Amino acid sequence: MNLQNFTFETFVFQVLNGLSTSMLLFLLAAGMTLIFGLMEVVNLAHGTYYLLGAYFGYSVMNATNNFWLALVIAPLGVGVVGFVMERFFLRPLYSKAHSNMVILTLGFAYLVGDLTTLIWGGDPKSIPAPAPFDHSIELLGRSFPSYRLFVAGLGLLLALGLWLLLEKTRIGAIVRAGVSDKEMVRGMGINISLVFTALFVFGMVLAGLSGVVAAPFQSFGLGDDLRILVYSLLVVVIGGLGTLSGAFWGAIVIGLVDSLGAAYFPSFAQFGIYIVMALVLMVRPTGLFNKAQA
Amino acid sequence: MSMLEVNNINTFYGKSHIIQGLSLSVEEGEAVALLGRNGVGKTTTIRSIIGFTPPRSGDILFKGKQIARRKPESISRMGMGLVPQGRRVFPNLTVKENLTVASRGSAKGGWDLERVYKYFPRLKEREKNLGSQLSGGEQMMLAIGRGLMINPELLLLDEPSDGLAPMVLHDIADIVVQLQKQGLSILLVEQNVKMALKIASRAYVLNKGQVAWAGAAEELRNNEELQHQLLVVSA
Ligand SMILES: Nc1ncnc2c1ncn2[C@@H]1O[C@H](COP(=O)(O)OP(=O)(O)O)[C@@H](O)[C@H]1O
Ligand SMILES: [Mg+2]
Repeated sequence: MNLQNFTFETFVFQVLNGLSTSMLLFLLAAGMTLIFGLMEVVNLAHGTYYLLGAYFGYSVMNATNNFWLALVIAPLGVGVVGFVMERFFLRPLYSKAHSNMVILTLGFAYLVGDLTTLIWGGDPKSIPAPAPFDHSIELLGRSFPSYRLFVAGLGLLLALGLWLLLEKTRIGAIVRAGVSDKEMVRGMGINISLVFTALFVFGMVLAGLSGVVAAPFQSFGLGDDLRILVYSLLVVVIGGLGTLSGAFWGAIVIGLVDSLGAAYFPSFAQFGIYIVMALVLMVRPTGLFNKAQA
Repeated sequence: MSMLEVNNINTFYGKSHIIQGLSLSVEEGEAVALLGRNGVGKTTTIRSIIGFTPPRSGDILFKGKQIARRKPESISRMGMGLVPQGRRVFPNLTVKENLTVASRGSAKGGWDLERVYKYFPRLKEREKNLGSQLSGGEQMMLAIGRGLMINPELLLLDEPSDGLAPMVLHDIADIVVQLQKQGLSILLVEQNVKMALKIASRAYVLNKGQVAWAGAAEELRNNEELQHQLLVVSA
């Protein structure tokens, strides 16, 4: 353990760092958990969409030098890729065994991963943080990158927006109804395949968005897609499949464990999140927030 | 033209041939009972009609249009409401959401939240509760209300009496009669033969996926021996 340099200030900093990571993970896991809950698709290309978001953002940045434009355009571009994948590749597999989709999405992950190297080269890229979040601010007498605070704030806002969308609108109610009984939803005249496409594209837009948002504080490249995939899967498993609140609290837990673990237990940091997952699953096998407890 | 005409359909679950050459019809404004012992294929017939388990062969005409190969969502949109066996209210949605999710935007003289609440004041009181928090009777009301929200011309009801207390049963039967009197066509699957024969004007009795008897409800109501022979499980 590494407690010699434990101070209240570093602790707060690590928590803030962790929370900004949490918010990124939430954007990924929210889409993943809803897509799994409604469509029963385990999308192993989820991290690939994150990486695509980062690369698309990088290209838009190079072309326009405007981060905010990249923040809007890149996720939309990722959404288009998601649309093509759902309509033309996943759709024919819904009536087949789940293993087909697992193989398809994994194949997609490797294929697109290689394509990114072909297009953007193999060396890690990054995007500079945009003004006014491109410098550090004074916090507890030390300097802290303001961009991380922006990310945490943006994430919280989006979480609130997503919650409102899912809990307070008719389209949200349709998604929740579909998670519990798809057939009945169809029997009420709702075109569920349209809902599938919309939700999948939306989930991929969120993944792409988190890719762009993350790019200013960590350089990215091939490998991050699978790393992020594993993190998102952990969040979803810890939180419980199919619930937004589960994705939220799962992301908080993983983000904090990751950040505090790296600071205070550096030699265990790699395993910290897995240990937490094992502990959670021992106590609650269906995740923290799944109402249907096994 | 009949409201619903089922012609010689055959429906399978995998390799099991469940519905074997079944035909039936529901005229406009008519309530028809579909009876039979457990496991004879009543629910499978309903599932064939709404498109959940489409028949492999045969025709189903709804308002004169072929629907045997259509998707459930498009059949529903043509004006077929479903109150399924087991009610299947969405447990994780509020009462109000259960209803509005089915809403098609109120057509003139059609069903909307207000009108459903007028029929079932209890649902209004429970508006904010989750589907999972309702009693069996309340779930039944919700399932019927939800089926009405799509503005059906034909309502399929699969065992609405199942598991209800006698008092509630009576209310539900009343509601179904009222709906029929207002011009809704109804196909009513029931184990409760007495209730079904009171509501319906015609009845079909199924056995092993085929129509074993068809005729006026009154005829079956007045012939206890026939009822016994068709409907009571033989030892
Ligand atoms: N999903 C299914 N898969 C296979 N067989 C089924 C399925 N559902 C029902 N069955 C069988 O089909 C037959 C008819 O069932 P059902 O239509 O539910 O009867 P009923 O509604 O008249 O009680 C039964 O023998 C039942 O075991
Ligand atoms: Mg049945």
